Amino acid sequence: MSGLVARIGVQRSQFELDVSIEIEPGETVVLLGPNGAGKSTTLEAIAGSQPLHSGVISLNEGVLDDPAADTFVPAQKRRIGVMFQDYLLFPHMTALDNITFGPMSAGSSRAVAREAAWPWIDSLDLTAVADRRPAELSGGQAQRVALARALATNPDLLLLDEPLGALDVSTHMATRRLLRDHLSAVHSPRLVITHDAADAFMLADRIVVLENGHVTQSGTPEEIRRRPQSRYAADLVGINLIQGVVDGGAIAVDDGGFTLMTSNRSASGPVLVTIHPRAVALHRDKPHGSPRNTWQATIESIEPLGETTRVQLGLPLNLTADVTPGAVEDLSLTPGADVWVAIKATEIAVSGV
Amino acid sequence: MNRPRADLRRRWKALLVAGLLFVVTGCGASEEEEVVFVFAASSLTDAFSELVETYQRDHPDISLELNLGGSTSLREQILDGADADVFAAASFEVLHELEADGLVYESPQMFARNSLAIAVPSGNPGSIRSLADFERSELELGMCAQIVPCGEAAAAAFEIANLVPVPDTHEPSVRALLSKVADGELDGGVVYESDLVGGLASVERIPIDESVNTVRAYPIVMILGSSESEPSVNTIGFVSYVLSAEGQAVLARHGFLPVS
Amino acid sequence: MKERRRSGVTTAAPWPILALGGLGVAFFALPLAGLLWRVPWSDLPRLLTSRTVLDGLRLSLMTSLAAAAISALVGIPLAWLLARTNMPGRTIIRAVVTLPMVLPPVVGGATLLFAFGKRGLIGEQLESATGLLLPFSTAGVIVANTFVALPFLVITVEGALRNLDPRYEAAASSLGASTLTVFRRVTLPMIRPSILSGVVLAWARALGEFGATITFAGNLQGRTQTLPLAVFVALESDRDAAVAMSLVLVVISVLVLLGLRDRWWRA
Repeated sequence: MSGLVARIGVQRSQFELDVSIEIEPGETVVLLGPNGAGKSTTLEAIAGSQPLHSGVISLNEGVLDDPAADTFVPAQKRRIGVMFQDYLLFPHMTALDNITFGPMSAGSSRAVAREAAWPWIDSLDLTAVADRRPAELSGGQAQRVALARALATNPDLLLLDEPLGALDVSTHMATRRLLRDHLSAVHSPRLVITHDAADAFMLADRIVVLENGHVTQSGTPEEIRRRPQSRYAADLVGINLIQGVVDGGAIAVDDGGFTLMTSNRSASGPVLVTIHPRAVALHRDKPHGSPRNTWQATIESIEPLGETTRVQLGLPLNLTADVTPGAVEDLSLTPGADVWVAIKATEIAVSGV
Repeated sequence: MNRPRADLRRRWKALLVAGLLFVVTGCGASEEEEVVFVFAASSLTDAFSELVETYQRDHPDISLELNLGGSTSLREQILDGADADVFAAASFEVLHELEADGLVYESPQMFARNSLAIAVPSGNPGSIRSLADFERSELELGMCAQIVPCGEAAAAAFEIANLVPVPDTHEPSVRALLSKVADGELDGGVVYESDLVGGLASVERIPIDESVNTVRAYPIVMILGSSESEPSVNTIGFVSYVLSAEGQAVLARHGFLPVS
Repeated sequence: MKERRRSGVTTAAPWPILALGGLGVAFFALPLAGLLWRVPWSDLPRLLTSRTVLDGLRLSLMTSLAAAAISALVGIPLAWLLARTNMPGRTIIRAVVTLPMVLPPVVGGATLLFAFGKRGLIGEQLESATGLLLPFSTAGVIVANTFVALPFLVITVEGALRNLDPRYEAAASSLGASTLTVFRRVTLPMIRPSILSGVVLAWARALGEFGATITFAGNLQGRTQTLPLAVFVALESDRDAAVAMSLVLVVISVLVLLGLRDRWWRA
């Protein structure tokens, strides 16, 4: 089949990587995993800086690496566009020269390479900054230059390594949406590597979850969200994300219809609130003591999830809570029942939007 | 436990201070032992090493320090205040400035003479027979720099012989010139006879015709320090030894011509 | 200047540091003052326009610049090999390359004679093949200068290459650039400041070179007598001339070092 077909086996002294990935043209696959799971090694193997020990990598039916057949195509001949973590734009070149670097290395004259680069520069809204050096670009502009540089060689495969990791929180979300739009215009297969679940769910047609060198789950974002098959995936999809406006530790959520208290008193203005599902405590009776945030809510659903049980809570705030199966029994939690919800102010994290 | 260690440390400190003082005041012991500092031109290296050695064998109570170098550089050292008692130079001119400064006791005396010869690598690859061969540009030829007595003497010899030499280098010392001849890098070099005695096995000697050869006289003087009005007995003793028959025999063994 | 203001030394220096540091400054400043004190100012124009000085200056500038250029030409690829490849015996090669930094220059000159001299290891073959006899020639001076200057450049550039994030070169490769293109268009420009300081260091070392030159190339005015050699000879004959020439060397070096320092050293 055309596109990428990779079965990657790499052995290191403390670590073994065994990943299978297939990506069709026009499809975005996100490789999602915690640090140390082997994401970077996977990328290096596909890009050509890490030879395989076993397995085969082929792109559009051409073999790139096959140790059994002693085939290895070096990085510069692979026709793979890579957008690197922190971009690695050449600091001594202008944005335009960065973008034309690939075509010129392939033998194009400067004029031809520039001619070919302009459509990318236009569509990525870089016209105004084409003459600037990387140090003079904003994070979002640098990211788009990196994307343009990777795409300017018309690669058969696009690899993006933590494409949003170098951005600050405020540009992060806006850029994520833009990136998704830009990627959908690319006809080659796309592989995105990230440890950020929100990025993965936003960008992916399909997610491959990588843990400790092995694929633990693979499927559409919806499938992963509904049936996470590992503790890591469950944690990622269970994270509560809420938008609000904070002032002096009080977060107005849902247009002021609900208020959460955070121990962070320095933030003010619009924020993104994150609450870990295990930080959401459930009680039969109104709890006494320290928690600042307590309210009553109705249980919408209960779902066993390995060692924990995931409880979806209804209004006033749709939250996910993870509790032990023992607690489910003690509290006799059932869908439709009312419970008291308690969250410590210290467990409510806010970040500026 | 603490006290003895502190004592020890104090003692070390005292030692260190004493050591520093010793270095700073400069060999406090020399006051009693009376060292005779002998400055001698480089061309006298072997001869004076032997003279100092034999003299000390006969006078074990006297301590001699030999300082070797180019005559001019030794003179500059003396002018700059170096401790010198005897100065055996390679030319009388070198001494003029010292005499003018009143650093010299009595007039300089000639103690040896030297004449020039051509040094060639063994086998004489450049087929050098006389000074005239120094006009052949295809050869690699060396002389001493003008500042070195052998350079001045060679220049004088070429002038007498009415020749225009084409040297490839003016070496700053006889030793440097000779070692390049010995290595075969140079096809020939003009040096003193004394430089060729007992020296390098891979160097051959080509004599220079007496009609053009220059003979150099070596003077010896006693130097007075700032606080001295006349030289010490030991200084006078060593100079007399150099001028004695015994001393002259040593110099002759090293290729120097007799005084008269 | 901007840099200095930002990091601004605001704390008062403790007196022992001040005293020892001041001692260090005096240690360098006093000999310089001594030189200036000895300069025969009124006689300077005559001394500086003498044939010996002009010949020496011309030779010194020419040979030191040539040595710096050759050092760059050979040294940058050598530094790249040392920093970026796994060639066997790298440690030994690095030791051999940096040897001239610790070797007394006179010994260096002697080893050059043993190799390229008339009776040296390859001297005869070199002469019959190229007609070039290095000892006692201006080319020999350049060889001696390069011998002592090259290590400074190699060490500086290799250090810079090791500090350069290799991922930039990997990024260039992934864009289809050949190894040579990566070297030319990415590696070299990114370590440019270090290359420049390496070249300046090498040039400065070559300008002051004495021991290897006089041993290997000899001493002949107009052909091999560079300024340091002329100073050495003059020290024994004409002190005023020696002082005047030393002044020329000092002025050239100080001008270059001052001019470059702010621009390149901290880049």
